[in-house]
Amino acid sequence: MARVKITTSYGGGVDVDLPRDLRELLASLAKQLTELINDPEAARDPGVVRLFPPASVDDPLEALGFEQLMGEALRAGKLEAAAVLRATAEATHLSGEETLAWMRSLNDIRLVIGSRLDIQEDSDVEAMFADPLLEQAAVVYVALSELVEMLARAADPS
Amino acid sequence: MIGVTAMSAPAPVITPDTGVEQRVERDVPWIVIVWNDPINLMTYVTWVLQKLFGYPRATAEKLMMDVHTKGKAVVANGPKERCEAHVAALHGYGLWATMQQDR
Repeated sequence: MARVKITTSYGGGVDVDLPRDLRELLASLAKQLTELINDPEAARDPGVVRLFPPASVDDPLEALGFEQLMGEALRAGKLEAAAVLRATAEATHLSGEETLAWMRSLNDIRLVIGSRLDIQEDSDVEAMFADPLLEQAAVVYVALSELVEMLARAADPS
Repeated sequence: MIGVTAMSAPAPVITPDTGVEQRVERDVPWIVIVWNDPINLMTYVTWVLQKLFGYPRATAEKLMMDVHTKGKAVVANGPKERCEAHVAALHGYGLWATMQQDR
């Protein structure tokens, strides 16, 4: 990626230096994520399933209870993070809260794309660049992975 | 506690809303498990464990490596309500987390 720099900002949060087309892509992906989460027809989409996994491995009643208790707040939290990403896609400085929203939402988008690409532990994502059907998603996936990695290195977890 | 054994034996409880008989197992703590998945990045998982649980970096890295190499790690334990909040927070960050009683 050309000119991608994310650095710790000593007043808190991070400074982000990204090319314009990447910023436009992030805003567009945040919008698509919002539409996907809000789409009642998409509940069985593998990406959506991965965003809201069951809270129990072997107890469907526990999983259902958790979904009833926490499902709405989780959906709202992911929508809020996506809204912040969209609203701050042009920003050169992110506050601590905005940095969290970027990390969460960019990672949510990776989960959706990665599920659709059926990424496995030993997947060679770059080999997918050669497949015309997968190329675009694979390129975006790799770019988002780099951004999340950079954010996790630059952002203070305390 | 000698002499109260009979009184403290676990008694079945009839829950008023469903009428389903449940044995309440208040003494069995809950655990929160993070599972390995092929999408979340190691750096990101470490960061989230530091952020949510306040673990020092070395502890978070060790837990992340357990998730990565053993397939899962217990990252927290406690009463059910607290574990539900932890699982929700982990799902909020996109980690694959479940909870269960630590039998």
